[in-house]
Amino acid sequence: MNLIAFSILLFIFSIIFQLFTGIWLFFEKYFLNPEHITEIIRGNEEKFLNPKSVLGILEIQVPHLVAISLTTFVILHFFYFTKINLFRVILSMAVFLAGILDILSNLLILKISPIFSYLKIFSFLIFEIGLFIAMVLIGFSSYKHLRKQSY
Amino acid sequence: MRFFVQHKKSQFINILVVLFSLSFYLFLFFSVWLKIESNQFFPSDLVIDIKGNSEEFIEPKEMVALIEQIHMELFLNLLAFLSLVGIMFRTLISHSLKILIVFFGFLATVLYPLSILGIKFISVYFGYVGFVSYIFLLFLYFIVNSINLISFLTGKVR
Repeated sequence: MNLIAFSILLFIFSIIFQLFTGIWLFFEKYFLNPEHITEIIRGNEEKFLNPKSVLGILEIQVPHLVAISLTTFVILHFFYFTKINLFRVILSMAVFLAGILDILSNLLILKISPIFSYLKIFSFLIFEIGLFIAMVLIGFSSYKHLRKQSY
Repeated sequence: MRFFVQHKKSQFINILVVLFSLSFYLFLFFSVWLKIESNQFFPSDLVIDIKGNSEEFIEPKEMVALIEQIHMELFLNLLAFLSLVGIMFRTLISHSLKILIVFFGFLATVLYPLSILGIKFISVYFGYVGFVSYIFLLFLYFIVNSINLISFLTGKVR
């Protein structure tokens, strides 16, 4: 059995679980609702919600920048071992860009405009769906590789 | 000249792996300490931390906090395990043992957060599953880290 292909396959399964917890967390916090996202970040006097501080946002943003870039890089670099086409290149770029925009959008909502809550939802969806598609493609390639070797 | 440079390179990698392995022992030690300090190590503590205890006026953990914990621990453990097995692939232990380590390592990495969800949504008995899978995870990390350290110290690597 090919050790690398087997490890990639298990890693992809585990990361899908990680992706699932990320989606769950987003729904628990923001409900995919732009008004609710704005309330959470900019606060709401009527509901006695305090606005987030820049420090609070940076404390979440900085480790996420490392974690998301690293995870995305680790997953997408497996494309290198498969047939790379234009779709995969565009998918990789979209996932990276969406991941970074999703993180930055909190600060943009707080400091510039609540309109960026739409950017947050859009980039979050692109990031999660794009990463899932990438993982399915990589997982399928690894599975094909394992099957080919077992015959 | 080439031999000299390559030799120097491999020595450098050896030093890096040894330093990484030693710091990984520290990570394991402090992880256990952190779990004990935050009352999340033993099965009964884990259950109380998640479900709360009305007699001791302990509130159950909020859903957001619970998912955040799973999200972060899973990421950290996956990255740690991936780094460990990435080094282990270069050691000379048998191929089948490597396959077993990879399989059970990923299984334990995913089983621990799943058991936390099990406590919350299914039964408090998942506290035991969580405890056993966490101990198994630590044991596996310790074994793989030791294999890496010994292999690179004795030069038994590819």
